[in-house]
Amino acid sequence: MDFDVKKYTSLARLKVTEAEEEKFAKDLGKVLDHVSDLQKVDTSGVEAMAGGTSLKNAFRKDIKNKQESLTPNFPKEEDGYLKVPRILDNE
Amino acid sequence: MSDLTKLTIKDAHNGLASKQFSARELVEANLQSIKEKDGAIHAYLSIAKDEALIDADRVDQVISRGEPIGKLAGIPLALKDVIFVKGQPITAGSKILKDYIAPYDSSVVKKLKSENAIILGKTNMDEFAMGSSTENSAFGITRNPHNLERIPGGSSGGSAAAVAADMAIAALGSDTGGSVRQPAAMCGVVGLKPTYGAVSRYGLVAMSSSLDQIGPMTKTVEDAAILFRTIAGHDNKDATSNPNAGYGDSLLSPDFNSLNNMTIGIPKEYLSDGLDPSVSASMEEVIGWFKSKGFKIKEVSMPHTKYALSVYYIIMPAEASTNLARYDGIRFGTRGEEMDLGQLYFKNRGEGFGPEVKRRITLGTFVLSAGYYEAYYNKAQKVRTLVKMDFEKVFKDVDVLLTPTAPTVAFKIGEKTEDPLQMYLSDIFTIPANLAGNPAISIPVRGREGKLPVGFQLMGKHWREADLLSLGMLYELG
Repeated sequence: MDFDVKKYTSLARLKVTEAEEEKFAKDLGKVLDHVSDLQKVDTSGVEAMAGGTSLKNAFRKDIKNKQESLTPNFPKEEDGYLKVPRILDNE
Repeated sequence: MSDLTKLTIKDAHNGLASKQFSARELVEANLQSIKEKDGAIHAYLSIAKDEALIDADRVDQVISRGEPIGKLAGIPLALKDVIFVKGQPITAGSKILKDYIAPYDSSVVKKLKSENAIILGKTNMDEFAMGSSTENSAFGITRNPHNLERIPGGSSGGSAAAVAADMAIAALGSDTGGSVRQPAAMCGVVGLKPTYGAVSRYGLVAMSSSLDQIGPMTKTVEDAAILFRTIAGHDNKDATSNPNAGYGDSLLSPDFNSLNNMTIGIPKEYLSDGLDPSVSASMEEVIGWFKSKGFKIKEVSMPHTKYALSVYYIIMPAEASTNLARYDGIRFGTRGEEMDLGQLYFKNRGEGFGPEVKRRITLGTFVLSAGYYEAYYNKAQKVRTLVKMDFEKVFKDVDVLLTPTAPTVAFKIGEKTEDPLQMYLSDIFTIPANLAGNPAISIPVRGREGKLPVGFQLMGKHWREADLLSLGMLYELG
């Protein structure tokens, strides 16, 4: 199938080269042709499966834990604060 | 003294406990082996030499005081570079995490450290575990120790190669669609993918969260049992880990007599077209061996097997594209010069991810996008249920399933890199167990010295790793 690579790399915020775009269109077209066999399967009345087992998630209590410092890995910091790009204008 | 690097966990433990050699000698022998061989193989991305020697000395002190030591104390291990070890680099094979240092220990590492196991270093892998050949690493390929012109399998290719080349006594990998079992088969080692929920993923770099499991890669099935016993168990930091999965010491010393009544199923869909002749010949041998031991062999059918690859290549990219959204250039990576936020995302992700990761993120974004979600993602989730029901149905009649691990032996470097679909097909026999959440093990077929290794796979019922391990140990006894 024809695959509009640019549309989805834009949604995923991925910069791709023109060569990659061409290659992805070809590769993913093939993959999508392959997975189209699923359309032949009768799934009426079948529940969608969302996890590896049918176990329920076992959540712990949401209590405060001591957190390890993340700043050494953060690309930018200032006075112990994490610095991020501005996302709102002044106005 | 014989070559310490060739020892199994069990023999190394016995040697340490009876003071035939020290933990330092054992670690030094493995470090020396890495120094000699890893230039050609490139199994490791980073080595923690100083920490390993300090930890070894600590174990030697315990031994010299005459205190008992655990089965993993002083045993040098290699970890796939997706598993957090506090203070050590963690790259996941990606440029985007090139300078990242793990800020905490993963739960499996906590357990290994509490047993005084030694962590030698971190092993190479396909970027973010996406691949079947370890050719997708941003830091260069890994070669198969049995033939340097061939791939070691993937994505845990570095761990498999490290164990196969005696550069670690054992290793951990992670398995989303076969990434422990397939490289184990290609490198002639044992690889276990536990039941989904058996081992905590806290501190594992996430690829596809409904499929990922951490598993041992070892020289023997018995070693896999020892390592699995240590890393398994509930962890309240992983909501998918099972609070009720009990794995006792019987895993380590099975009662072989109790196996007599077991029935082994051979799903005919796994022995069909596309099998390498050496793989089908090996399968006949293995089936014949189990038959000669008095096991009932029964041909079964799992009709949805043929859809497993398609289901996987919708669900896995969907989950991966979601999980990898966090690599945005804000919290990870190098920020570079100041720029507009939109540009920053495009630039960091575009430059930080390799081609296969970008390909899968693109595919995942597509199958989750408005207009395609129902036809692709939701449809795949439903067919996944049918794949799982195949397992439930056959496990009413048989106790375990016996199949090849991979359709071929290790292929040549570069042979499949141009055609992703061909690469994806090398996981065709390992993917179903991930989709259904079942445990599965790859065990090297005996008597292939001098030839490229072949692995056979045993798949079991949920939480019944014991069945796979005990049958595997019996096979190893010969």
